[in-house]
Amino acid sequence: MSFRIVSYLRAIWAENVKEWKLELAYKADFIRSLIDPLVYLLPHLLYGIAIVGGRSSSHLAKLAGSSDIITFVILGYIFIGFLNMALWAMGFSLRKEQYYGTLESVFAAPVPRWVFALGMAAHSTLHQSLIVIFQLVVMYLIFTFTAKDGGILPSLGLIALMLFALYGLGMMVAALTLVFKQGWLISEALSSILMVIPRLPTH
Amino acid sequence: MRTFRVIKAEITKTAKIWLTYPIMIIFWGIFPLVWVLPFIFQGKAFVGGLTSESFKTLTGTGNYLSFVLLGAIISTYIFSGLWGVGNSLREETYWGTLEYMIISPTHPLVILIGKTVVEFIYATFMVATQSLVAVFLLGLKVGLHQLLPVVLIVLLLLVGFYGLAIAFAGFTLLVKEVHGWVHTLEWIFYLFSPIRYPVEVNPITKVISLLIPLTYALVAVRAVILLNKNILSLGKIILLLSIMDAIFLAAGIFLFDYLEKKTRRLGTLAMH
Repeated sequence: MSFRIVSYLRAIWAENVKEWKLELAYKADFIRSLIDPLVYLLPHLLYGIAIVGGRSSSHLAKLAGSSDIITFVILGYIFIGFLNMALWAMGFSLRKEQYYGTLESVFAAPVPRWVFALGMAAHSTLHQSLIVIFQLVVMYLIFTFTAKDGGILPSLGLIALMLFALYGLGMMVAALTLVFKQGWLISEALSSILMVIPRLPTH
Repeated sequence: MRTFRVIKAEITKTAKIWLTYPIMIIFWGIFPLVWVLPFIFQGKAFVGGLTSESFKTLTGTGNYLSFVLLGAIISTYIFSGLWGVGNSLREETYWGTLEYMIISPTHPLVILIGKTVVEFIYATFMVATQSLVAVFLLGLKVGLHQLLPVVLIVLLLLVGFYGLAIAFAGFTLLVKEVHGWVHTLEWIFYLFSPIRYPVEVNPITKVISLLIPLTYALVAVRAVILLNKNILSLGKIILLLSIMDAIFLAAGIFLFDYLEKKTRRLGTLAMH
C-alpha cells in the first residue's frame, strides 16, 4: 500500500516536472506568462484611479470596509489568476496531450487518471503561485500597499480551500474539452462570466 | 477581374468555415461586452453611480460607462484584425493549405486582401451586434447623425491597421509560431491606448499612446458620440490618421512582400 502511494507521488511529481520542462523550453513565452497578468491588471488600476481621482474611495469603504482601491483590485485579481489557472492550465491539459499525440500513452500508463490530474494541479498551483508572487512584488514597487501580518496566514488558508474547488472545476473543464474539442471557447466563456464576480463587492 | 474572383472565393471559403462554428459568431458578438462588465461594476463600486467628476476632468465626459463600451466596440476591429488577418496565414499552415495557396498563380497579397475584406465583414457584424446590445440593454446613446462621422473615423483607423496586420501576416511566414507576439501586441493596445481607461491618468501611458493610431480614433469617436462634436472640429485627428494610413499601408504591403520572398529564399515556407 505504502509502495503504491510512493509510486503515485512519484508520478505526480514527474507530471509536474514534465510541465515545467515544456514551459521552460519556450523562455519568451514563460516570461510573458509572468508579465501578462500585470498588463491586464494595470488598466483596471489606472481606470480606478481615473474614476476616483486618487486611490481612496469612500464609497468602496462603505461597501467593502476598505477604501484603498489599489489593494482591493490587486487582491481580487490574485483570485482571478487562480481561477484562470483552473480554467486554462488544468482545463486545457488533456487537450494539450491530444495535440502532442501523448494522450493515449498517458491514459494507458499504469496509474489512475486522478494521479495525472493531481500532477497537473500541482504544476498549475506552483506556476500560478510564482506568477502571484511576481505580481505582488511589482505592484508593491509601483503602488505600495500594506497587509496586516495577522491576516496573511488565514488568507493563505482560504486560498488553499478555494484551490480544492478550483481543481474540481479544472477537471470538469478538461473533460468537457475532450468532448467538445474547441476547448478554448469553454474556458474563455466560463472565465469571462466568472471574472465578473470575484473582483467586486457583493452588495 | 480575376483578382475580384479570388477575393470572392476567399470570402466564400471563410464564410463556410465560420458557419461551421456558429457558436463562435455568437461568442464574439457578445463576450467583448461581458469583458467590459467588471469595469462598469468596478466604477459603480468606487463612486456609487454611473458618472464621475474626476473622469470628466480627464476625458470631458463623466459617463465612464459609455467610455468603456465604445472602447470595447471599436477595439473589436483591432483584435479581430490582429488574429483574423495577422494570424491568417499561420492558420493555413495548420490546415495544411499554405503551400497550395503560395504556389497557386495568384499573388499571396491578393489572397491576403481577400482575407482582410472578409475579416472586415466579420468584425462589422460583431460590432453591429455589440452596438445593438450596448444601445438597447446598456443605455449607450448614439444619434443617427453621429453614425456617418464614426464610420469615417473607423475606416480611417482600419486602412492603416490592416496595413500593419498584412505585414504581421508576412512575419508569421518567417517566424511561424506567433501566439506570443499577438498577445504582446494586445498588451500594447490594452495598456497604451484608451480602450479601457483614459491614458491621460498616467504620464507614461499618455506619451506612448500618441504613437498608436487607435488612440486618435478612440478620442475622435468618443468626441463625436459623447461630447457631440462636429467631425469638422476634429480635422487635426483626421489628418493625422490619414497620414498614418498612408505610411502603415505602404509599409505593410512592402514588408509582406519582402518577408514572403525572404521565407521562400530560406526554404522554410512549409515548416511549422
